[in-house]
Amino acid sequence: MSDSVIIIGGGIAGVQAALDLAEAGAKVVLVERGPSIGGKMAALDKNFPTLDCSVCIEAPKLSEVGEHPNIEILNNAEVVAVEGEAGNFAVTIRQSAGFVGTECTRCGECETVCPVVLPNEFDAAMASRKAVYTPFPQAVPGAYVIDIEHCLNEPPNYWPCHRCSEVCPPNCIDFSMPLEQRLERRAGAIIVSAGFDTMDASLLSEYGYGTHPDILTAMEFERLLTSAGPTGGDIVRPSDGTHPHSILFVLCVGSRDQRFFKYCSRFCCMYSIKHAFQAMDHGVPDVTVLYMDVRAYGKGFDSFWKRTEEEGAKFVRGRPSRITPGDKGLTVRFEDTSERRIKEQDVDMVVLATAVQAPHGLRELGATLGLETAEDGFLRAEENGFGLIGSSRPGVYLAGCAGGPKDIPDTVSEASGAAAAALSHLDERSWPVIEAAEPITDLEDPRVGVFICHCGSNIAGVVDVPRVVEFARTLPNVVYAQDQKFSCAGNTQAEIAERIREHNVNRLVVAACSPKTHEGTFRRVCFKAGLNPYLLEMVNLRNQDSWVHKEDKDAATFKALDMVKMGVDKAALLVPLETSHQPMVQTALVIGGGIAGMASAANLARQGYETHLVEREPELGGLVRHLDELAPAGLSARELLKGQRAEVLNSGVKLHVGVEVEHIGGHIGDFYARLSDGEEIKAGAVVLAMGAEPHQAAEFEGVPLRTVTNLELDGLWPDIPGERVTVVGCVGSRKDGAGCSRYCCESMVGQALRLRGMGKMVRVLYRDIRTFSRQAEELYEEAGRAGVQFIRYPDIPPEEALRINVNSVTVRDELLGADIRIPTDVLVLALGLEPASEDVSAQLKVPRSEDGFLLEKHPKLGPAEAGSPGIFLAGAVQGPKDVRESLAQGLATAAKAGALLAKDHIEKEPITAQLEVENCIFCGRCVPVCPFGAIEMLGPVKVGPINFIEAACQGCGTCAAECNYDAITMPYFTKEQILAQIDAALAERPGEKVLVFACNWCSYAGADQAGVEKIQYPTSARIIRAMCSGRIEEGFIVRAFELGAGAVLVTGCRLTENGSDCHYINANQQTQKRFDFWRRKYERKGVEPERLQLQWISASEGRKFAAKIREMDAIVRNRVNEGVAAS
Amino acid sequence: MKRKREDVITLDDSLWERVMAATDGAVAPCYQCGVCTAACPWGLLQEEPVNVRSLMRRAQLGIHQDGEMWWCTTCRACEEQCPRGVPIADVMLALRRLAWQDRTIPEGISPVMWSLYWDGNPWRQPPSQRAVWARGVTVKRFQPSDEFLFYAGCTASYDNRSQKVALALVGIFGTAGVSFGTLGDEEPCCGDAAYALGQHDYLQQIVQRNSERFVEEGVQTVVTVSPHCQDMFLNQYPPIEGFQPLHYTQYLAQLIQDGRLRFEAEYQVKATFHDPCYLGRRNGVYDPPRHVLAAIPGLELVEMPQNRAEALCCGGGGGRMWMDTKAGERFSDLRVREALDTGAEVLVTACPHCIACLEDSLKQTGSPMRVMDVAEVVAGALSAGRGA
Repeated sequence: MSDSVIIIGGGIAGVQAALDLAEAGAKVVLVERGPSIGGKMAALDKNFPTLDCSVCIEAPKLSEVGEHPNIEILNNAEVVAVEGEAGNFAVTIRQSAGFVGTECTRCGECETVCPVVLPNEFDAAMASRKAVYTPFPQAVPGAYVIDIEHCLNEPPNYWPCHRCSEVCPPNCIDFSMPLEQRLERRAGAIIVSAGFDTMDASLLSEYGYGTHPDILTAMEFERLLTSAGPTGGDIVRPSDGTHPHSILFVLCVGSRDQRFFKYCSRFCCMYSIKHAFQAMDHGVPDVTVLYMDVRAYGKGFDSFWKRTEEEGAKFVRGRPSRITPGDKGLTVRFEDTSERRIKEQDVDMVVLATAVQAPHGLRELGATLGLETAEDGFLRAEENGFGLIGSSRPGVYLAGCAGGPKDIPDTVSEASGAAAAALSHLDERSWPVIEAAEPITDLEDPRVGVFICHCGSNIAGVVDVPRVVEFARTLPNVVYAQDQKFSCAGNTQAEIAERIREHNVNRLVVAACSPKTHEGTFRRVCFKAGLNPYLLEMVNLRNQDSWVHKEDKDAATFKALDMVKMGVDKAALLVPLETSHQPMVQTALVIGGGIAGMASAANLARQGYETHLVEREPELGGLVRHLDELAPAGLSARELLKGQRAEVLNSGVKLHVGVEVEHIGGHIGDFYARLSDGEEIKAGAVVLAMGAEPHQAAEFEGVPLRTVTNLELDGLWPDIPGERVTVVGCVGSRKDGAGCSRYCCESMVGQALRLRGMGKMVRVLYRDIRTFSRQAEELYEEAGRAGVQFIRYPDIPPEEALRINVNSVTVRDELLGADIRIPTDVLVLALGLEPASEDVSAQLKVPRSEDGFLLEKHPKLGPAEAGSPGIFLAGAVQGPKDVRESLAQGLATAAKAGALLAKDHIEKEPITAQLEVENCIFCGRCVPVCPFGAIEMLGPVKVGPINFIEAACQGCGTCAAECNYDAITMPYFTKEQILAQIDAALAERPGEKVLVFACNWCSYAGADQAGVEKIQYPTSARIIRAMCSGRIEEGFIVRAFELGAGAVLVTGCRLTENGSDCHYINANQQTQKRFDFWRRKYERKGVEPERLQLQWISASEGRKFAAKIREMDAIVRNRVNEGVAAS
Repeated sequence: MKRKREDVITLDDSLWERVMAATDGAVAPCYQCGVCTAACPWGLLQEEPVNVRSLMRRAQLGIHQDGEMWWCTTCRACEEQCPRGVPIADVMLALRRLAWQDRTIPEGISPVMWSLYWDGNPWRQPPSQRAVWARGVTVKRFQPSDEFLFYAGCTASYDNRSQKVALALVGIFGTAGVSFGTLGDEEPCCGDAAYALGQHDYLQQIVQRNSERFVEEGVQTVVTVSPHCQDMFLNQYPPIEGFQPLHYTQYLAQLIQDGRLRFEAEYQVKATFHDPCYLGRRNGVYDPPRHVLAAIPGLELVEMPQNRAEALCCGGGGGRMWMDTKAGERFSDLRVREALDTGAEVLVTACPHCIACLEDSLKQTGSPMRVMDVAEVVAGALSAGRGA
């Protein structure tokens, strides 16, 4: 047995698996073939459908991996031999030298002098790099590398060229390093996360790639969009540098094509929709997408597609036969299949969504590992209890694209799932203590250090950074200020730590991007420098200034000055805070005994934790109990369940079957549940796996034709009535806010094929065939070959599209362009999935997304976690999934929960309410406003005592805002600190400013989102962050108006009649109450009501945030113009 | 042949099963991307061109066809790009076969079959005249000891223009000193017309009879003038042991490679090569004709933009030689323009149908360009050598 796991491939899959394992106390060796981890995700501009900045959300994870004491990164390395078996593998790794030592500071001097210019792979070869280079600014490990194949020297010679080694300040370029070294590592399990390549587009000669510069691949276009890319985020035609007026996107280039790759590449539809959206956003007015089926299968995908269409992108069903350069740019010839006409469209640019293919060398790697490669070129998955994670060799697991194309959330789920599977092979865990620098103890007099980030051109392209640095140096308490190209990059982080010690800095201000994404990164920098991590204040120059004020650089710079002053003045008042340790009940509670819950519970039990599995039905299995054969792999549902049930029993899970959770509450480390049989369970982590429910197809009740649901059909084999069977898809899916149900297309194709095999006439009616899962497209093709007729009905719900008569169904065949009557004996309804009816999630205050399923922590990188810590989402409870996806996500929750349970305590962020008992008059007003019941009045009112339960407190600060006696302090968001920010914000020209209070979870994130989407709004807003709008107290409003603020806007999570999105249950109700009171009060004082406003803004509502600021700005400007505000 | 729109089409399972059986299920996997419609050359010429995709769709559902399958030249330009690998031309022929069964064939088709039946050729020429093309030269009767059987085929036997190609070849073979023979006026039709017009049942009879005949005659290697004949022998005939059908360009390329055919003198000409569909896309023979031309000293070969697998069809395949094509709707008009744009003096090809179509179109332009067969170019180059 072992304490280590080898991970092969350092893309997002390898990174996520490494972090999950390391957090759970496993040692990880992360083997990456290239110079840096990060994979393809680091090269992407934005992620669909949230339009998150890709590298911005990935980079913190990369630096976390780079710094984690349990993770060893071997870059430029490949696994060359594996011996042994699960639990005890001996792995040989060959690592090539980079010829640059770890003392590298990434100063880039070497790069400047290197004479060898090469295409930069990271920029899809659209820009250049040198032979000594770093692939991208946030690369991990951070040292530069020498591409020795193209370097002029042949090591160990420093001849004919030694320019780089001559200029290197730390003198760390060393050509005498051995060309390669062989390393031996032992491991209990291996995870293969080798990623993917994209195909060579020039193989499709008819599309002319390579013959004309304006025919691009999607990856090239991605780099054009990126502000850190070769054009600084400008979409230009490589041929002449002009902005294209029209762009055409071609899907399925090499995918779903028997000449190249038969499978569906799965994520091209969505990134092409994203590209279309971004192209329009970048001012390209004429955007066309040529598709065959839009596979918008994920959460929020369909609505993103519709939104892109509404914004003006034209989606045309067809596939080009030829792309030719002509007088007017490029001419694309295709049949518009809805109009049944051949079109020749002249466009300025064409973007090809090239197929995903197995990365080069995967077959050889598979052979080294003793794994089989499947027909599609990816590694063969041994599908049973692991979905697509299991490989053909025990102890070796697949994550992400090594087991077939996958998008980021599915990859991340699999990575965590593979981590869980790997953990079950380990018998030892360890958490090395991170060496902190000698603590900086002289904290009395504030000595503020300010670091201003260029973020490439993201900030520096708009804000005059040198001027801001100069200004910062003039501010009180500032002892040091400098700018940095990318503050988040590994070596720049080290630079900050060095400067802190060098200049005796004891308060740190980083003016860069959002604390929402990078606070953790810079807190770690503080920790390493020996500075208490809570002596950091971030200034959000990027999301809330440069990105949203591109057109007015002077005003953006002026705003930046204000923002930096706000940050510095708050920083001066920061005090060190110590993380508190709260007890962790090392028991897991899994609610829901479907396939996902079973996988999660069994794995947690295998990891050695007491695990309770509660299932309200009399037996385990959930929806899978009703299934027979699982498409596309053709697994027997019965066998799968049998195996899973046995695993649940053998692993020692404590079963509570036929029992419901009656009451549940508590928080991370300390949840409690009362079951309907009276049993009480305490648990440190809760996995929600309540699944989904099939749509009740009331809309098909009473039709004059025999109908069965697809689930009922699976119960009937082999006695299927009727000879002519018509299967209809999307029953209950893709309407009224519901998205795609994901599982049904592949399932109905599988059923149709089986029915056809029985000699029946089978028709499948579909809106788009979404056979995106591995082998599913191949199954679809097979069904077609077998004679199943596929009929595309109009893009409306089936109950509107179908006319059902006795013995026939009439529908418009979109492909034929005519109505057809289909003789039918039996109509099979492929039911969509709907959120299960349950109140467990409501009791735990887990919010829901638009489609009614539970809201995940992050749609890309946190699909298996709820927003509240300690609560995890397994399977369809988070959104519709098929069996293999549910298994992966079930296992993912086991990795996440297992990492928590591995320790007997949790570290609690020191931002909980602190009672200043000397000021307290024991009035008790704080007690009822606490959403968590964390304040107890132990004695009579006005006498006391009063008790604050730290473990229960979540730090919203509603109590502090309620207190009139300054008897409650909210660390990191103290009254003094916030007042200092207000004073700084309104120091100059206060009447022209809109002071905005925003809550950490929704409205501040909404403001960030406006930045991500580059929605421009006026520069008058000055934003102050608190954890919750419930923290905003009257004193803040008073101060703002005293100083002559033009207007004040209070924002927070949404509060509607249907409920509250508040992350502190319903603390924003207190905000509403207080606001109503303030408004009346200020109206009486003669403050116009429009100058004090309240607006609920969710994290996704960047547009709404911007619109509100525009409105507030108009109010302020009116006053200024009328001269009222002259001061 | 214009399609009419029905209000509601009722799917007919029995009709669908007939189509499935006739097409061997080939059309079933089509997912209707429309690349075939966009790739079809008719789209370059007609206002309302054949919608290949719709045609496939109707076949897929077993819906009655309006006769559009008769437009198909079986050039397979669509198949080159079909992502699902549907043998579209075969589906077209299968639909024609069903039309014969249903007696819904267009006018003018049936006499071609009668000619084939009575005269052994589709050109309504007397069988006794079959060997007339070789009147001026000595061509002996094929013996099993010969290196190959030279198969002239119906067009080169009867058509004045193509006869010259056959004669050129006889000359070349003589120069190279190879032993060959023909079947004289007993040479049977290969059956291409029956194949292309979907007369499946009669085709089977022809194939059966000819196969037996070849075995009896001891034929091993057969060299054809027309790529259509070669394609028939290669792909439509049952496998015969040792039987190796070659197009003459393949054979000439082999002779050159073996050093049996040499060009002594310069033959100054700028030429472009038009790939016959049955030679190129059907059988992948792209290089041999080019190798032959490249072996001629002084000959400059320039390619048209659409060459090899992307070559534009002349319009004469798929039985279109026996159907009317309106002036202004001929593929060869476009092809000739493309050839003229290269600045070549000679448009070279290697198929009797291509020669006929391209020459017709070239005449309209009044250009001094000539259409020549590879065999004629080779013969010209050889005689230039002799002349020098």
